[in-house]
Amino acid sequence: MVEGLLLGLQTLFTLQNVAFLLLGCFAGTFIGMLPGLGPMTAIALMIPIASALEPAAGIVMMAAVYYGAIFGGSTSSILINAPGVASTVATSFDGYPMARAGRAGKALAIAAGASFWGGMIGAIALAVAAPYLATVSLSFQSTDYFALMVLGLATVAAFAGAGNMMKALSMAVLGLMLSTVGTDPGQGVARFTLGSLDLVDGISFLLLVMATFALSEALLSIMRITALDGAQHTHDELGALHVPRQEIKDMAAPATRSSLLGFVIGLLPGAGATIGSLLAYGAEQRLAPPDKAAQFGKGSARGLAAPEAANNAAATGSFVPLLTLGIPGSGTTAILLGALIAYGVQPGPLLYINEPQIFWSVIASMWIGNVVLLVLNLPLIPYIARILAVPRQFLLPLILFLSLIGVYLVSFNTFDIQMMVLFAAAAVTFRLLDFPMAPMILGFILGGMMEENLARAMLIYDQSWAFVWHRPLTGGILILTIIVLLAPWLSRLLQLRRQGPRAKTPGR
Amino acid sequence: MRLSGDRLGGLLLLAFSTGYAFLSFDIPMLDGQQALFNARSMPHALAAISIMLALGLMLKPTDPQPLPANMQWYLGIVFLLLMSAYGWALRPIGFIAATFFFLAGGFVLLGERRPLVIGAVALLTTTGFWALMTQLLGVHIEALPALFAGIRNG
Repeated sequence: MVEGLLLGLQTLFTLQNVAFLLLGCFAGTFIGMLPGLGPMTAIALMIPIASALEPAAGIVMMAAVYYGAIFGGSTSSILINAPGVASTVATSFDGYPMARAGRAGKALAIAAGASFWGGMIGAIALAVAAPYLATVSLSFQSTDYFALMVLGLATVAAFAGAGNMMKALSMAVLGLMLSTVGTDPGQGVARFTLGSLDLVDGISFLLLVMATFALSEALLSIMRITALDGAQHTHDELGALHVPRQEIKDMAAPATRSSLLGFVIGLLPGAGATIGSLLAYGAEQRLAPPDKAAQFGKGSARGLAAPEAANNAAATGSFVPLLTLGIPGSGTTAILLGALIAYGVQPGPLLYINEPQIFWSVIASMWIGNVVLLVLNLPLIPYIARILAVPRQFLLPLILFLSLIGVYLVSFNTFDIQMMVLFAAAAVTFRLLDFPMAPMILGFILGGMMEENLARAMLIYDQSWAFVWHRPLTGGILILTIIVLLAPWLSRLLQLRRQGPRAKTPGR
Repeated sequence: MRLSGDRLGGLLLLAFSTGYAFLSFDIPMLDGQQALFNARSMPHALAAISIMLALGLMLKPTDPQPLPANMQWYLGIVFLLLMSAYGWALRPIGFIAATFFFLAGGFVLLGERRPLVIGAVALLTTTGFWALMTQLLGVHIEALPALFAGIRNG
């Protein structure tokens, strides 16, 4: 592991890579700070620039954008109570009350410190777990990969909650359907191209991500612009960034526990940073002494440190399935996977063996990225926060322009702009109807791989589904998938049964 | 039957899935591959699952929320049209002019009324981006209308 890390640091420490790491951290913080624009949009917006770089530099930059965006999201949660991303919702519970009490600087410093701690613990756990998992996953076959991808999509839907599960599943299937547009990789025949040459190569991943995240987010902000205008009040005076030593000591244990919890949650496909941060917040509230627990929601330092440490550790944890199995567990890592494939880099167990410099440079970049965020971004926050004061009538058309031109400059085909408009309109409609977009992107990115692995499995097993019972691992994963899909229904059924007698009483 | 968000979403997905299912029968088949796992297999399975899920959403919606209100729909539609127009205009009138008009139009639509500010921000952004891409990153963008490029090349 030490050798690998040294290789990663050696790859990382070129002037160019460090420059792009810094750029990624700043750009991520900048974009993540804008309410509504999360890591997915931040990474999508940076792909056109990253695609012009060497693989190591590009990947390092996008990883830096990821942590930067999470950090930026925390800033807008604390300063204006408008989380840039769902994973920083829990940050606003205590961060915003602190800011209102004139302690915004301290809240930002705690958030940065806890994020750093979570990121470091996550990166250490990743450096330990990833090579081991990569070695184990070398024994996986096509059938296992197919089953794992089905499990990944099912868990994303299951974690959307019982009420949203059907919607999340529908969106995942929609993504799978969109992935079949273009030339079939197995037989080379055109599918769903409607006779258009522009669709023969399929729908561009970048185009879909930009349209469904960046464009739709900006359009939704435009449509809600009057409601938002009054909400953008930043605190001109941030107050001191200093955190007393005693408070740091007091937060150390909650931040460490939350980091470990966040990392484990991040490993699960679909769970990710949002659930990790909310779970950590709840757990620390229960574990805190009564006087400290009463402070939660009113500006508690523990209540701010716990979700911040957890969401960064979870973000790091979500890299494990991506790097070791080549299967993204979240929308953000799905976008990263798409970018890696565009480079000709296929994440998975072979990445660790064939291209260790890329594998380890990603891990090393997490360490350096976290240091950069703490040492450089934190003092600059008062200046970066001024972006929140940029008038929206200028900012939103600029985001639309950058999204459109970012895709156009990859293909130089104006047909792509019209496709983006179409997908953006569909995405706005579905988002207004409360349908999640992340499962769709995950379905789209996994679709091709799923079909390829299933076709290979069918070929090996002479066109039969016998692999389900012939390979215990495949069968086990598929049984787990069924359990995951049924779990929300079963728990609701049990809940209803428990509430049954009460529900039947008159007047209810 | 009240049209909730779930039902409308289900209806849209049903329409898309049905169209997808019909088109999946047009996928050409190679000789002798009728019984194998072929190019139609995955689309057929996906269409069937999607239709079932869409029907499930329509018949048993979980979210009783009505459609969102207080949205500036017209502004969203006008911006979609503006983006589409930008796509059509990009080549015929060139990057500089198309981007300038796109940005200026966007600023005006969102309530900016100072002509000098609109012109200055749009012009600086357009030329700054063009210079960054062409001079620093080495990405060629045709700045002038296609007509001029033709005359210059021809």
